[in-house]
Amino acid sequence: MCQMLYSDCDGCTWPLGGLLRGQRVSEERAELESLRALDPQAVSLVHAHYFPQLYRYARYRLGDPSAAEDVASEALVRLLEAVAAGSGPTSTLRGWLLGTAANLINDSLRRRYAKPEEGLSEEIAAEGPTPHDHAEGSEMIRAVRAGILRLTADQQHVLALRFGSEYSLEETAAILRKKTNAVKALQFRALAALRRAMEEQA
Amino acid sequence: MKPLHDALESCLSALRSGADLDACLGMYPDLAESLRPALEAAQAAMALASEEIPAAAGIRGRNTLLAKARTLSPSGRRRRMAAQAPRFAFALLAALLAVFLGGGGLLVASAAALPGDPLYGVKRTAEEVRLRLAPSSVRAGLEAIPNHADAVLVLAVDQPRPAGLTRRLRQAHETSDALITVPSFGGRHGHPTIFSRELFPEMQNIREETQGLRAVRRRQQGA
Repeated sequence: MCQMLYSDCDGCTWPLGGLLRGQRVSEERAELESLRALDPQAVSLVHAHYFPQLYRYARYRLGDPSAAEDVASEALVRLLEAVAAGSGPTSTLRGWLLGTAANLINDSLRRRYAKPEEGLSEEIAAEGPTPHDHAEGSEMIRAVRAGILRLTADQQHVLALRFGSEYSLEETAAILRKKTNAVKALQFRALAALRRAMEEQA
Repeated sequence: MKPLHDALESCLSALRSGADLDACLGMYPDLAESLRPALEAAQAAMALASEEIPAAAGIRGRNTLLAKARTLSPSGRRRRMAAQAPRFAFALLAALLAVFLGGGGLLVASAAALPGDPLYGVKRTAEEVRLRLAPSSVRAGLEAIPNHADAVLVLAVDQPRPAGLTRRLRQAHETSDALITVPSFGGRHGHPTIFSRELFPEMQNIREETQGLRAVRRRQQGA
C-alpha cells in the first residue's frame, strides 16, 4: 500500500519543475552553498526555514506531534549528511527534504503495520486531555485520519502537501516533479478515495 | 476529466477563501454530483491541518542539527576518528540497552536521544517496547541494534554503573576474543555485560523460564 515515492532521493539530483525557478531557485542554491560550509549560522537559517514546513507535513501524515518532530529533524540531519558528503540536492532543496520526509514516514507506517501498537491504557494517559486532544479525538478527525492511512503513499503525499502544508498547485507539482494536470488528477483520485474510505469507516 | 479536475481546483480555492460548499457547486451545476463527494472529503482533509508548532520542538531540532554540523566539520571528524576503537566498530555499541536481566523487561537507554544521535535509531523502538509491553522485550531491543554493530552492552536499569567501569569493560572486550565480557569483584560476576554479535541469535531465543540472558552467559562459561 505504501510504495516508495523517492527511493533515490538520498543523494540524487532532481531537475527543476514547473514554476520553481527565478528567485526561489536562487534562494535555495544560496542556502545549499552556505550549508556546505557547515557554518552554524547557515545551518540555523536552513533549519528555521524548513523545519516548520517539514513538521507540518509530517504532523499531517502521522498525526503524532513527537513523531512529526522526529521526522522533521531527521530529514534535516540527512540533508546535512548528504551535503557534507558532497551529494544531496543541487537546487530543489524543499523537494528533496519533503521527499526524504515522505520516505521516512512511509518506512514508519510500514513498521507500524508490521507491528501494530496497543493503545495506552486510561491509567497511563492520566495527565488529562488537552483541548487539542479533544479536537483530535473527535469522530470526524479520527475517521479522516483512518481514511488517509488507507490511501496509497502518493495519495497521502499529495493530500499532505495540498491540505496539510497548503502548498499551491504549482508548488506541489514542482515538489512531486509532475505536471499540474497530473497533480490535479492525483488530487481528485485521492479525495475520492478518502471519501470512500471514510464512508466505509462510518 | 479535465473540466472536473479544473472545477475541483477552482472550488478548493473558493473554499479556502471562505465560500461555502453549495456556493462552489453552484458554479458548476453540471459537475456538482461528481464534485460534491470530493469537496466534502477536501473539507475533512483541511480540518486535519495543524498550524501549531511547539517552540521546544524547533529548539530541539536546531540544537540537534547544529550538533550534527559540528561532528561533520573537519575538526569534528578528526575528533571522532581519534576516539574510534581500533578493532571494533564500537561506536555502534552506543546501542546501549538497559535490561532487566532476570525479568526480561527491557528499556532502551536512549530517551534523550534526538535524530542524529547514535542512540536515535534505538529510541523509537524503545518507545514501542515500553508501550507494547512485548512478551520478549529482549528480542525487541536486539532488533533495534544496527546491522553493523559488533556488540551490545546490556545494563540493568536499576543498577547504574559509573562511566569509567563501562569504558574499561568496553576496552577489555575490544582487546579480547571473548564473546562475553563481564566485570567481576571478589570472584562474583556483575553488570553491565557485553555480548558479541555472534551471540545475538542465541539471545533472540532466550526464555524467561530458563533465566534469560543468564543462561547465555552460563553456556559461554561452560564452552
